[in-house]
Amino acid sequence: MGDTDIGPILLAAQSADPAVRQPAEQQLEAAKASNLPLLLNLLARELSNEVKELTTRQLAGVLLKNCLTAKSADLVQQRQAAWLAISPAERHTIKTAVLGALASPQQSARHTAAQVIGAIGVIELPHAQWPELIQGLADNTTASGNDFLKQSSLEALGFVCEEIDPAVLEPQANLILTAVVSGMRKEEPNMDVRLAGVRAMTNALEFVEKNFEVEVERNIIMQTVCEATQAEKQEIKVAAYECIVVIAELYYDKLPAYMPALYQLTLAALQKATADESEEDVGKQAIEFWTTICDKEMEIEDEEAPGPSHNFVKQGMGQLVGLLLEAMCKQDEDEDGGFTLASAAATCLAQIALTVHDDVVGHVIPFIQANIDSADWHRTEAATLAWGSVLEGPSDLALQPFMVPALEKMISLVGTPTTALPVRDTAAWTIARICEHHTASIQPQHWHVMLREGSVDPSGALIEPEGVLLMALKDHTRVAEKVCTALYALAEQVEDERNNPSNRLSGLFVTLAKALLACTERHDAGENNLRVSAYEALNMVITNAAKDTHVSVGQLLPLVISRLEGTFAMPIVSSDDREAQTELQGLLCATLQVITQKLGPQAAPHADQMMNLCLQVFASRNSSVHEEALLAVGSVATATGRAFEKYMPHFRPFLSLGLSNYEEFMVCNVAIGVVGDICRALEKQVMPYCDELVHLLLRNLQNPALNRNVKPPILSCFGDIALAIEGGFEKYMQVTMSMLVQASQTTVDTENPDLVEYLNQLREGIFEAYTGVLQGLRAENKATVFEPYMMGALELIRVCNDGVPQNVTGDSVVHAAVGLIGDLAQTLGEPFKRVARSSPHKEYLKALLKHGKESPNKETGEAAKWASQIAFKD
Amino acid sequence: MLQSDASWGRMGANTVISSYYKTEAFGDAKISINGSPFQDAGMAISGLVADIIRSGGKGDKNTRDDRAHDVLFDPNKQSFLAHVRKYLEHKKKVGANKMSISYEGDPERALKFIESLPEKDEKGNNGHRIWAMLYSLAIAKAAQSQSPVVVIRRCIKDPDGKYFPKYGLGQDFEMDFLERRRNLDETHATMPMFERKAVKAGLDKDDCRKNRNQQKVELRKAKKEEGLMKRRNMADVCVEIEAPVEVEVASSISQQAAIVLGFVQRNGPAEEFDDAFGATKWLRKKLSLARNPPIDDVIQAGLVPAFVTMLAHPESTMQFEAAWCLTNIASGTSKQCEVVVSHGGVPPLIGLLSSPSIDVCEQCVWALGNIAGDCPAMRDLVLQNGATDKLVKLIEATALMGQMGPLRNAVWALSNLMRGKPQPSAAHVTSVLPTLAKLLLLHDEEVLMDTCWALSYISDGGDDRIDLVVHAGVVPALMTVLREKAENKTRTPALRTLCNILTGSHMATQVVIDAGILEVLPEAIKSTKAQTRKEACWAISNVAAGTSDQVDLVMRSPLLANVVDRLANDDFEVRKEAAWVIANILHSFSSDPTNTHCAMRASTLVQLGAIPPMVAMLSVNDAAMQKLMLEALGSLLGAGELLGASKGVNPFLVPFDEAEGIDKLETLQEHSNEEIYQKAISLLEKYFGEEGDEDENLLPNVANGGFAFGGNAPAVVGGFNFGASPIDVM
Repeated sequence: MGDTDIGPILLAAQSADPAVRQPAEQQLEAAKASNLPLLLNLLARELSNEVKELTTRQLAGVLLKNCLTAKSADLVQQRQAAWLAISPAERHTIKTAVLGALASPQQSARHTAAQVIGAIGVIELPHAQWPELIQGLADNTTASGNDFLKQSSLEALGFVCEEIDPAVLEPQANLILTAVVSGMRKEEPNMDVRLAGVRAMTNALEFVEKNFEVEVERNIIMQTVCEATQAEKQEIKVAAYECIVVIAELYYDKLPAYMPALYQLTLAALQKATADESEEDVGKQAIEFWTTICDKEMEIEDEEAPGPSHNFVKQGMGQLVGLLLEAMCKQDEDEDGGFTLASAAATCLAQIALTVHDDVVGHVIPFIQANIDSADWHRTEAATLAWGSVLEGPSDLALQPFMVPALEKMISLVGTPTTALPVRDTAAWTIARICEHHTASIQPQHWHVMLREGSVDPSGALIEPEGVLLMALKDHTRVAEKVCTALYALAEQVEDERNNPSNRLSGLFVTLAKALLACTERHDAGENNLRVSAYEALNMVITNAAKDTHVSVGQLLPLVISRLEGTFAMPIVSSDDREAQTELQGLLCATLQVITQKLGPQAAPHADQMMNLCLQVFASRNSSVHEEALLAVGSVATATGRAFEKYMPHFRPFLSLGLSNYEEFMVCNVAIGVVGDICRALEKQVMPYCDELVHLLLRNLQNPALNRNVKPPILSCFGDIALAIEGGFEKYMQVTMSMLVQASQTTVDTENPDLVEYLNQLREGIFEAYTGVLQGLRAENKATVFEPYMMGALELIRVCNDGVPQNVTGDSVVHAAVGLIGDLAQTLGEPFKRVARSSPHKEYLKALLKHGKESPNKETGEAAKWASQIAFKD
Repeated sequence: MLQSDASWGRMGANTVISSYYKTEAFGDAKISINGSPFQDAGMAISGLVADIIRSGGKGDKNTRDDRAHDVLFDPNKQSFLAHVRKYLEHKKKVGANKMSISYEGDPERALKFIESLPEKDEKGNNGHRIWAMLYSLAIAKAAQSQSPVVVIRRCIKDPDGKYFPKYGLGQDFEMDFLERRRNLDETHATMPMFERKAVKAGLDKDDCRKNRNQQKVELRKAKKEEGLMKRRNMADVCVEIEAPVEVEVASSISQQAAIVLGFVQRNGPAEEFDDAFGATKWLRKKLSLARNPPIDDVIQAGLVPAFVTMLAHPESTMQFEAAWCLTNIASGTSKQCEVVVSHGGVPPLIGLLSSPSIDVCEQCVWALGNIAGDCPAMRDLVLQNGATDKLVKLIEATALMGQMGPLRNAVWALSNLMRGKPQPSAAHVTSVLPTLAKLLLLHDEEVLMDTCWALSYISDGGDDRIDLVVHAGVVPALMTVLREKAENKTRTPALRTLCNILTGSHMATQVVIDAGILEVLPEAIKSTKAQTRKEACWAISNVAAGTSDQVDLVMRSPLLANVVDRLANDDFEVRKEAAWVIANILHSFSSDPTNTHCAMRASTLVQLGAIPPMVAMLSVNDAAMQKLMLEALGSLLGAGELLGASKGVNPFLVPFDEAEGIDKLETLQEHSNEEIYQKAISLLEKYFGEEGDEDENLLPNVANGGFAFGGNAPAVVGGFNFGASPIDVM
């Protein structure tokens, strides 16, 4: 490349014409591979050359930066190493060129230069190189009379602060703060400089923790930031409020002294934004401040963050809620999308309700009462949304006085066709929230008004129209979708009565199923997620349907089957069509799954059709549909038992595919669950498939790229296989047992609760595997096969017992472990008991059994009693 | 831009992406993926697209690569624009804010999605397509690298110069992804911004699938467990897990009841024992079901008197089963519990507390604990039947033998016997206190907890009860519990007991002080739990209401500063208790208004900054509190008169005025409560005569853009040097 003018190459590399682009790209790649310093030097020179085209200067800067940074950690390392490998002298030349570009009169050139400086700083500063960088940039901002240079130097400081490990910059925090504060102060005449300063401050906040501890310095920071909120320029104001949001998040405990001012500022900004649309972005940040305060105070209340709470929300909500409610009246006319001032305000109100609980109620009720019947739909909608927003947080007791009239109002709003659409929409959503959080407040007469079936006399004249919600399912898709959510929530409430002979859904089942099925068939069901919602509501209604509805559920099965069949005949001309088909297939597979699960063996007569269709669905390339189809097949296996054998030859390839799909680990996870279903269904007949299954499972265990959460189920799955094929598992013993021992040696940082949780899952999986193997071998009197592995199992039990005092070992692990002690005694008999009754084994075994017996969980206690009975008492 | 890595070359030149186009489209936007440093969005997308295309090439790489190229790199092609237009219409129809499609690891879908996005939004801004592309690809990319959670935080500077964390397009599917992943892996902290779910979010396909999957996992687990139980022959040890259909239970209850009732009627013929025992055990299992135990069915079958009779059966196994049945019946509603009592269940249950079978003892203790816990009347019935003596003996025996299970149950039952108001008679209390004192020395958390609760119930009464507790010598042991078990469940009852004792006579108060309560309270008053902070303040207020020496202990304690701080910054409930501390201290002056020592206490409070929060308390909506504070402020100002008499200036008037106290008093003249406005008026007249009409706004003045916090902060003009701060922060 030598002295080539790199500009034309850069331009060519952007060409739409492959014939032009490809050679240029190759040339750049080759240069990168053969002589990186030269390429970077050329790029830096291009960037800093004021006579060059702005386009190529910028391209050069970006390419330069991309040679230094990446997203994936390994690439970052690679590129950083490549940069550091360049000689200091060459690096110096490049850096000097880029630094020169910081003063460019061209905005995008100096901006790109700032980015490059940031990237280099991030690499070099942690290695104690380029020590003069921060000082230099700081000098630029304070000493220089060049506003361009000031602005881009502040930007560069911001970039460095944003990306670097805060510890690296801490020693220079004073220097940076001085520069940043000087840039953002109100006396700064250049607005671009000031804006860059405010943004740099936002990025710097995290590492100036020590300065923030010192009252005098904190006061200055706060003063400067607060002053920036009063700037003329909109962008500066928004950036300043954003800075305040970050301060609230990082330094909540330091806020009390500043709260009077912040309170006044944010409320004034909110008020202004409500009155003046051009202030909306400022207003949203002001709201975000309060939403962040809510988050903080909730964290403190939940003891997720150290306290004490200053109860700013409680103290400030008197006026705040009033202003939020007014802001909520500024809805977008057209669509309920986007994060507008109104939706930001509603989000904040909902957070306030979660933070202060009962206290919010008194602040919203007057607004609701004053506006719910307003002639202006904006105000009615805001009142409706306000009620819906405070339904979660306050106690039943506080809401109860308003509950019935409010519900009746919502019903009447949804049921009146002349109500404005946004109001019907929000009222339906509010009913859904009531169903979700306050089902007990819904009286029988409301059920009737909402969900009765319409009736006609013999002549066909209407006696009584159908319930409001049923009618609303035929309303605009936005409204109908919310009704589906409501029905889903209602059905979800009867979860505990799922296996009862009858429950509250029984009388409604046919009506709801009919209405929801009709809803899925609406020509416009593709809009607003309606089809998905209707099917999901139907699925929940079926899932929680009581025994007395099984006949009706059974009648749904042929219908759902024929609908799934129908999807294969859908005309596919565009990718949208394909997407619609895939989505529908996923939904129908889910419905098949819940029906089959509910009906059990009664669904078996339809198994042929279902399997046939599921196998066709597997042809789709979509992972979530694969999950649905796999789950459906698992249910069919459970329902058909041994008869599932005939499907195995056809299903096997897809099962293998699922098990091999380590990239989409959810699919893999579901497939593993299905293996368990099949093992329990086929029992010994699963034998012919085991070589492949065991092979795939082992391969997954060994695959470091597979999400670790899938690994415990794999271990447990070995147990399922062993239980199914019993003595037939002998041939897999050596390889699987060594995996279990390896997995047993996993250790984690016990300070990290998430890792401890994972460790428990892993150990539970290992114990389940041992248990399955032992009980399987016992059934065929092959106990001696296990003897060589006994000590490995005991070792894990010992480790788990050691984890009891520190609360590392969870109850489910204790349950599995004591169960294994019993299995060992029951299967191995004397050889085990001899070991178990001698030191050092008897100590930890007895300790764990004792711990198990004292478990609050009944099943664990029973298992421990059983195990000590057969291991120690005879 | 060029995102080169090892595999780049293999894929050929098609994978290179027009960086210029990208960076332009993103403007100055920056994103952070999974907590990585913020980076240029344009750059991020280049790398992501490259990776996607690379992985997309797995199956049929040639065709896909070419298509990807066309779609991505030639936005000006007519066919592409037509597609964009079509997509725009489509999205308008379906509501562009709700896109719950999963792109994870599915390059075909990602590409399809990109194809279909609008290049410009309605306002003509770049963004929708490009952002959605970025998000979808970032998610796809992260899915490939098995990253369990994707958090994309995005800050953008719009072309028109606005800077704001973006919501809206792209955010939705990003959150879908978040939540789905969270099901499996909770380890990743997410940025709060993006956890903010849209206010009116509806049903999400992926969430619903997650639920179904979870349900399936539970079903499988149950099925597996069932199979194992069979193999392990655990059937006769285990209690049934699944509730069979209720009708069946009811009918079999009547069958089993017939066996039991016949057995009892015929005075327990030996040949029927096995059947009757089996039936009782069967009934016990039904009564032990976690959900809907058939208590009423069992009562209606007339079984309660039969169970009571069987308590007297010579076979301890039978006693055990009968006692278990009665335990579970007594655990029901008050009405159900009463059936056990009205059929004379209590005396035989108490009798069996001295059974040689520890299982029987434990079971009877449990039953009695349930009965006593129902209401004070039931509790007294159990007490009158002589439960305490037997229970105390049982506790001492089990403690001696280290039988922790039965011991815990017995202590829990004992605590129930001491609970509730009206309190149990002094005689019963006296007979259990020595045992409770001994239990405090055990190292079992549950025993300690229930022992402390029992003591807290007993001490929650008049001075006579408190003196009983003090004389039992438990205070030092309670203090040990409080010191050593700082963070467990014994803390609350132990602290409460000690606070209860503080409310007693000066002697009782002194005992707790001597044991060192003032040394443990500083911890408590800083607790994260408001309840604990409140109790701490309450405790201090009781010391402050004590003898002059006791008040001085509070004055000398560092706690006092904490109290003032609580008064200023805490929940109302805590502030109220803190106010009582202050009021009690000042009361010592008003009851002895010439005592300079007492007046000095007011001076200390003023120095600690008590006036502003005291004045603030005048604004609360609680007349009793307002009255209390008016009195306290009255004492305070009175103390000022005394202290300033020599100089003729009341030193507290200025700080009172600065805290807007005069304004508050003037406001209170309007108060509807006569006592309050009288007090306010008399204070105004007494100390402020005709003046006090100043209206000074202490809030920073926003109007001229100037802010000053902390008074004397140096001016920022000209650049303040942080390094020059007097405190060395490094």
